[in-house]
Amino acid sequence: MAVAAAPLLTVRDVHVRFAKPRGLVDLLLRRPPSAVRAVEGANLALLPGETLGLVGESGSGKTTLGRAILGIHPVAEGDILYRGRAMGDPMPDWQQRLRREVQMVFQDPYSSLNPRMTIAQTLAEVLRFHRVVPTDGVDDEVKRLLDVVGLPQAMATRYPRAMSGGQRQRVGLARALAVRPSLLVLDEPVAALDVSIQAQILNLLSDLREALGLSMLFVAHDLSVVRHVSDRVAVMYRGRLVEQGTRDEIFTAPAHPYTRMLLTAVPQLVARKRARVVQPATEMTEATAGGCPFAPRCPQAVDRCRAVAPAEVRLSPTHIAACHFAGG
Amino acid sequence: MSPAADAGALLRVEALEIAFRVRGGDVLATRGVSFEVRQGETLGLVGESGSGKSVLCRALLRLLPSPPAQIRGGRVLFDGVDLLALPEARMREIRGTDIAMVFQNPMTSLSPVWPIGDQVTEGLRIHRGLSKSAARDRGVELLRAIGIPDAARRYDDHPSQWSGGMLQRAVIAMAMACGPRLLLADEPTTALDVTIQEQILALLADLQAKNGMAMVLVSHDIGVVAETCDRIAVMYAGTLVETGPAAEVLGNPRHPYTLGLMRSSPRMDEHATRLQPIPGQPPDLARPAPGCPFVERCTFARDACRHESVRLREVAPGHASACLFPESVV
Ligand SMILES: Nc1ncnc2c1ncn2[C@@H]1O[C@H](COP(=O)(O)OP(=O)(O)OP(=O)(O)O)[C@@H](O)[C@H]1O
Ligand SMILES: Nc1ncnc2c1ncn2[C@@H]1O[C@H](COP(=O)(O)OP(=O)(O)OP(=O)(O)O)[C@@H](O)[C@H]1O
Ligand code: SF4
Ligand code: SF4
Ligand SMILES: [Mg+2]
Ligand SMILES: [Mg+2]
Repeated sequence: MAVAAAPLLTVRDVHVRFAKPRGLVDLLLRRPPSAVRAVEGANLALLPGETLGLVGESGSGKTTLGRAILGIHPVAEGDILYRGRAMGDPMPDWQQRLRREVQMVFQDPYSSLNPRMTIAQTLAEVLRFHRVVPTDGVDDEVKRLLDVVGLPQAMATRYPRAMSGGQRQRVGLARALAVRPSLLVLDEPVAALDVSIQAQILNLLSDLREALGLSMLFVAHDLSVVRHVSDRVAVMYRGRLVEQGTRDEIFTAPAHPYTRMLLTAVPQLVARKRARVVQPATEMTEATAGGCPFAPRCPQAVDRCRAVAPAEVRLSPTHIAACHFAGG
Repeated sequence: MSPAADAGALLRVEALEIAFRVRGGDVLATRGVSFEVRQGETLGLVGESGSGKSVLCRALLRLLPSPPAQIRGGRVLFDGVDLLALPEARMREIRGTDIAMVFQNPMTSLSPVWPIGDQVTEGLRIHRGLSKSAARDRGVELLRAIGIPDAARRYDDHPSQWSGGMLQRAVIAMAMACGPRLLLADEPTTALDVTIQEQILALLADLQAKNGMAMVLVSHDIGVVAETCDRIAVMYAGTLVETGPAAEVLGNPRHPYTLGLMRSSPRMDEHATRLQPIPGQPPDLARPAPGCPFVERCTFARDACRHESVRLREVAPGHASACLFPESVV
């Protein structure tokens, strides 16, 4: 068993951009049309059965990257390969297969559920469309799915608007699990759950991973959750992956100043009301003009950081960081 | 309770009962919920998913659609005035100025078709009489304060162009704009990385120190609650099961549900392969049974728990539990 497994998912130098409609001010100032560079040159690989945690600044491109993997956002440059084959490959039945094997749990569960369908109808539709179970088994499978995500059976006939935030989030998860995917992109899947249900869901995901070899890209802000679920962790800042490593490398030997800043800001479970200091608002510009994207907030920034974008430094076979000072 | 104990309570909720009409009966979303929040104070509202936290916050502002919602009883005193008895026009004024709410889902308070900046500053124009250009300046300042890159240019973006966490921050900026006396913040930082979360919580703390703003912070993140709140109220199945000073409730929980919550959190300082959720499921809110609502899942349960009615009772000064046997909870 010494053969290195082929990656299930490969993301190679992927860029995603959104054209910005020009507002009145832009027209008045004759600014050229610009684009939001949501993801810039992302590289990752995910092995079968592996969980990669994706953390990062709010607005750094995590959701966009996840949606690009699902084919929801077009990729401006670069390639995304699933089982070694391009997502856009014209092979017959490939798209159908991707739609079944690659699933996403969306960050905003409300806008991703059909408001005119009850929960049972939503789940039954997916089960029928992908013929997951025989037609006469659909009702039982819906019951089982509700159970699996800890929703009472009474919820089956409810509409999304009559549910709490965490109840909706679990419907999104049940829908993604319904088709028994191989690759699951989870965008903040437990953010709206109390810690007990969160524990139940995290245990469930770890069981599925053991039993079915499920691979996961797990986007979350809660670092204790990320630490719990991930084999490896990737850190994103302003559209770029600034650090990647095994769980232990990231949590015990973080090499990028942003990762270190994240780890020191994690709230502790000990009740102690903290005096907080408002940091002066720094104007953070998107156009980093070639320098390091983190330079405006980096405590270690020097002139070179503002002029030259740092290259990726390899610190171990599994650990890379994009900082001029990584690795000493 | 002695009158002296109420002095300074800006918000006082008394025995609030809220039900929803659904197919197959009524869902009792809150049952006899009572608590108070003083000026400048932060109350953390934590608890089970689906236990009624969001419904409670909306009810305080009279924002629940009726039908299907129905307020069956109780009072909501803000500065001594019962909000539930006010004419709608007066209530609308209060919502714009004195009390602000940050909804769990940011799109509840944002329109998809308007520039975000204009929405953030709408209150400043309507209630504070700022001119369009003054409001814009203030708006850009607010967006900058909440860490939106290129704030001046992104002022005119539409909600579909912002990430989940950016929208969440926009809604917080909107709520802070008019300097409310009470802020109801429902999961305001779930989509923020911890460094930006820290900045947002600092901005809120600043408003509290400067204006004496009171806050109800609904959150599943016990770490955030621990570092932000003066007092905590724990909610389960539509009732408050434990209330008290934050350090007391988290450090010395006196209700088995609170204890179960503390035990199911993953921790940064140790790596467990398996987490410990509370076994079982919450009761069906459409079929309230007599006795303690936690009885089916409680490892401390005794016979009395099935029929004796439970209510919050003081276990230490300022610390109350709705468990019949709080001294056995360890
Ligand atoms: N449809 C869109 N049109 C224009 N810009 C967009 C669009 N979707 C996202 N963006 C921009 O792309 C960037 C990345 O957004 P994304 O939603 O991927 O961030 P995120 O890392 O998921 O953030 P969060 O943690 O807040 O959810 C942001 O600057 C956002 O404003
Ligand atoms: N319109 C409605 N009709 C029927 N039941 C409803 C309606 N809205 C909410 N509920 C129910 O009321 C209960 C309380 O919901 P609420 O949204 O307040 O929960 P919550 O404590 O905020 O949960 P979460 O932490 O998941 O957001 C839930 O069980 C929910 O299913
Ligand atoms: S390259 Fe410079 S600015 Fe960027 S993270 Fe490293 S030290 Fe900080
Ligand atoms: S009253 Fe009984 S069942 Fe309820 S929490 Fe206390 S010990 Fe458990
Ligand atoms: Mg996102
Ligand atoms: Mg809620």
